[in-house]
Amino acid sequence: MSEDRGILRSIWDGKIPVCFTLSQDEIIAEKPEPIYQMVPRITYFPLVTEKISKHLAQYIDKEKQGEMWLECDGVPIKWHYPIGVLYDLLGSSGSLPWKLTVHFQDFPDDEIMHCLSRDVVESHFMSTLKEADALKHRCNVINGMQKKDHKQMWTGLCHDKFDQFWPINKRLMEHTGDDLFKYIPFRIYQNDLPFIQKLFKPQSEEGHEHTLDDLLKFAVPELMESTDNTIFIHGIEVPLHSPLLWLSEHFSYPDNFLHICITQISTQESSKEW
Amino acid sequence: MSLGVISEEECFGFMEDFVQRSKKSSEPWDLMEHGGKLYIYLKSWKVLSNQKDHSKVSDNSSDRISEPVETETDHTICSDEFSNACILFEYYVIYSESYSVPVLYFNVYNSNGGLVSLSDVWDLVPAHYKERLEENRWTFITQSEHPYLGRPYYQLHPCHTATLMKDVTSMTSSNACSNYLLSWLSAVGPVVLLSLPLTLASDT
Repeated sequence: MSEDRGILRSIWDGKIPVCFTLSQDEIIAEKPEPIYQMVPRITYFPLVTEKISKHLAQYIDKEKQGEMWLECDGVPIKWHYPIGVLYDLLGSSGSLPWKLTVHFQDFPDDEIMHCLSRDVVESHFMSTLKEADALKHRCNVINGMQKKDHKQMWTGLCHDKFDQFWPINKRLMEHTGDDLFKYIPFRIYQNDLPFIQKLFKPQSEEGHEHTLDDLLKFAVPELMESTDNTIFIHGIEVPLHSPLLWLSEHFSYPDNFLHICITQISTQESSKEW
Repeated sequence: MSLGVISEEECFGFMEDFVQRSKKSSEPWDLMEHGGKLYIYLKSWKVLSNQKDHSKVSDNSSDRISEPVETETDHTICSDEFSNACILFEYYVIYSESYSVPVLYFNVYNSNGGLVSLSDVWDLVPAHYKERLEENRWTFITQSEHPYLGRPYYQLHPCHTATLMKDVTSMTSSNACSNYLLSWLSAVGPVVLLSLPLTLASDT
């Protein structure tokens, strides 16, 4: 897979311009300017919003200050999804930068998970990574690694260091000869619905390589019958005939899952008009 | 089953058996279905006997392995005396295809319906478990997304379940009434105040 290093690098470098605005209802006196930031698609919001939180918290009532959370057009942001997934689901390419509202009150704990420290993000990331390896290699690779390898992956992600992250990640992406991944770790997201995750092998029983189309027809057959859906991975409309194993190796997020977003074309167009 | 893992089909069978057994107990579990997948569910009120000592918790059954301090028989109404210390547990057992084991999801609500935070959940964990789990605090109980509801629930992480059950299943395999779920839940449940009535394990 080394010849495709350029692709891995491009995926890693994907960024989204975001405009963070403090919620109007929580400002006590002077209104702060919105904050603009380029954020990596592959990371998680709590890893990039620490400074923003500190800055905007100066403009609110200290006594009412609770845990910070983000909102997009009335929808609380699930920080435990990679930023790129959230944007592909909730954002719209017609209106960049992506506008998010910052809140410090009324944390919607029935909708989103708490995140009071980086440890929570690390534990979430490591457990997703572990689950991916359970699907690919029955946890054999991740359990065979040393703690410092896990740490190196985590700090590579935190500090946006491709060269720190990938040498270790490569081992999780390896398979030898006929011994392919047991299953492809994937999750399919649609607006408002829990994500879909099932067991799906990289090859058919007859030994044919599965494509993205095969996966979608298996996991969401009803959606594949309609033609007004767009399928995004990392903001890219991936050709349906792409080999699934190759996608898993190159288009997975750092947590080793292929996060696939399905949006309806009609809702995208109406959001563009805004 | 020798590796401590079970197939989805086996798990659904154990769920049906488990729910059947629990029907005779004071806290019957419900068998539910989501998109063709079976799972089991229990709603359980508990009364904290002393707010400062959360490890002493009573529930509405007297026949427990842990030692209940008070007995609360009313499921829905708590007396004023206990109103601040009356909490609701919701437990779900869902099969994980990734790990080939069942997973326990739960939420804890205070008497006002507010979600109890993870650090307060840790305060509820009986002291003798807490000591042992302290090292894995960030990985043993975590918040995660409920696979069917899409909302936050606490989860006992499934990555150690197979290792635990490898030993348990090899010991009980000759026992005709053994139910994987029963063995597993009676081992890990008490950590999060889920103590199974002894009657569940009896054959009749």
